Amino acid sequence: MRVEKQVPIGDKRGLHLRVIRSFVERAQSFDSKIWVECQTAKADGKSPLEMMLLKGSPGAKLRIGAEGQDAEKAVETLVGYITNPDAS
Amino acid sequence: MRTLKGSGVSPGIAIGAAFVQESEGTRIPRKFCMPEEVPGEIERFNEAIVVAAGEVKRLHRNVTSKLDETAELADIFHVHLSLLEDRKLHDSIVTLIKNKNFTAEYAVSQRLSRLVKQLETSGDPYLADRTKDIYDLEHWVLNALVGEERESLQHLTEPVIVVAHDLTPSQTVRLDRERVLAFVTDAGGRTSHTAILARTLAIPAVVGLRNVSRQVSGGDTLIVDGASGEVILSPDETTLNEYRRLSREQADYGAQVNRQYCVLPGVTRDGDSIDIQANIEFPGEAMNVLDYGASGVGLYRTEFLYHAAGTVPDEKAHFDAYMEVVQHLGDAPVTIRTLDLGADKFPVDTDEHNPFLGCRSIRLMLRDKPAFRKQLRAILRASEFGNVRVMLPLVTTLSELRETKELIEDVKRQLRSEGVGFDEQIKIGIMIEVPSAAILADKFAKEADFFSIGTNDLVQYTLAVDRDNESVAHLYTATDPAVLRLIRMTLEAARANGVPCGMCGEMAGDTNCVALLVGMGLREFSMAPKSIAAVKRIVRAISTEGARRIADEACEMATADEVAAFLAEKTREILPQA
Repeated sequence: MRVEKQVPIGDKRGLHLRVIRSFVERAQSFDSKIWVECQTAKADGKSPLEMMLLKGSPGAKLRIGAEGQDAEKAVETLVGYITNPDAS
Repeated sequence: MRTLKGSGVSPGIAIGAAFVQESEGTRIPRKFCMPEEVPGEIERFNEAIVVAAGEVKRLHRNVTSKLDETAELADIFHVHLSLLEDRKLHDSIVTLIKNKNFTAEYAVSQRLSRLVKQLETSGDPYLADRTKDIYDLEHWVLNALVGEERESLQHLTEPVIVVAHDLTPSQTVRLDRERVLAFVTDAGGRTSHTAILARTLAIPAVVGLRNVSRQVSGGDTLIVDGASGEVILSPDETTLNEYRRLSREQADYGAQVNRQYCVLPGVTRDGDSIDIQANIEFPGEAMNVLDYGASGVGLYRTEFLYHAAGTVPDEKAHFDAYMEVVQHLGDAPVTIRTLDLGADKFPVDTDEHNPFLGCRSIRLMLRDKPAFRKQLRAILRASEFGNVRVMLPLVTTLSELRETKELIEDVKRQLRSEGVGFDEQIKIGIMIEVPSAAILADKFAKEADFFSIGTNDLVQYTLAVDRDNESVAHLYTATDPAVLRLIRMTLEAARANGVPCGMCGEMAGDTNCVALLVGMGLREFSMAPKSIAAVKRIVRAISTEGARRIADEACEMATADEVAAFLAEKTREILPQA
């Protein structure tokens, strides 16, 4: 199963350290392969390093994708997190 | 032979062999390994990651057990840990070892350098900032790999001139003064902390050379002139002889000046007493302060307790350091400045886009009251044994002062209930280093026991110039008319309210500014110990009346350049060889 969804970065400071860390933590809990695209750059959602290299400025749109058994749940969780990182 | 020009930040001539410092202070002993050593190198790398992760976790535990609000700090550690555990990064380094026969150290260094370049060329300032995290990562892993040899600068076997891209304050602090003849760096400005430390340690230094580290190889002969800012690569025999002669002359003159002026009091020709004290960074300097002719310590910068320890100091660490200073100073005054952390000094929140205007110094301490209390308790306890004053950095509003005073009262209550002695009358003063404090000095004078003008930051905030930014460094001048007005305003407000006002910024140790400052009414100067003799010499050569005239004329001028030229001329008249 392959799922993809677009979501704007909800945190007004963009994709900063804390958000990356929490995102990667959540991503790693899923079996599916997870990727995140921002403009032309693509990162492995489970790699904090690659996530750091995305130019995630506030309001930028991320395309979060997953492929695997739990792909749907993965994308839902991650999109939910990015939309409102402070809620968690 | 080639001559490079940078900013000479610590005077002195050094002639010697270059020691080029590689990747953030850790020398890589070997770059390549034999094919049969590859599995062993991979093993070493895997182990190093585990050790490094352990170190990071240990430091994290240490820090979080001491500070209340640790969200940001904890995150930095979590990210470092995540990076250490990043599979892709790990695999790319193993690939380098396998395919290119790199040693573990070299593979780590190469991969991380490439990463740093990626971040720096991304065009995103936020990403460029992340390079600090990568350097930290490299530091952790290389330390785990290279082990005991890691602080290569501490294990030099012969005197050298250190050449580096940049030196952090903690690296500068740990330089072996016996072995380091001088240092030169690509980056840095006149008033960066590394430069200030160089002057305090009396190591000749030139910074801001842009790319000296790429032009020099280990072992090359260099001549460094810390006063003019010139660095000569591979000098010819004639030049070498000329500088050897100059170096001998300077040593003789320097010794002469020191011997003469240290013991004499700082008094102008018409009998006005000028109090001359010393700025220090670490307890070890206290020993020599009185020998240099200082009447006390006008500024004890305490943040170097952090740099030396690499972690948050506890109350005992603070107290031990203060006691060492107090014991050496006896009855002479010691002004302890509370932690001035943040921005360029020990960045705490790496998410800050504008750290100089962010959570630093007093703001940071008021946010972390448990940590603040530890330092305040230590200062109060030390006050029982000597003549101690507390000074608060970067105070911008009265409420910061009031909140701190309340906290100090609370700490006093706590100590009283524990039966621990301290100076009940301890004086609490503030640094005047932002425009708001100078402009509102009259109000501050009613609630602070003393002022100390911190020109380094005052100039920066008034002229909106980053003192470490090489491209605007020429705009940063303490003698700017706007700054002079703020200094004057502060001195007048202090005088009107009977509050002592001193100056501890670099301007106080500048011989060209002595007449100006005395003429404006400054009677308390604090500076790097090495500058004391020269400043005393000028103080004793001027008359207060003459100084007043110089100050009045300088304050009428409209540009910094005019003022600087005027003061240089007047100082030459006062002392032809100064």
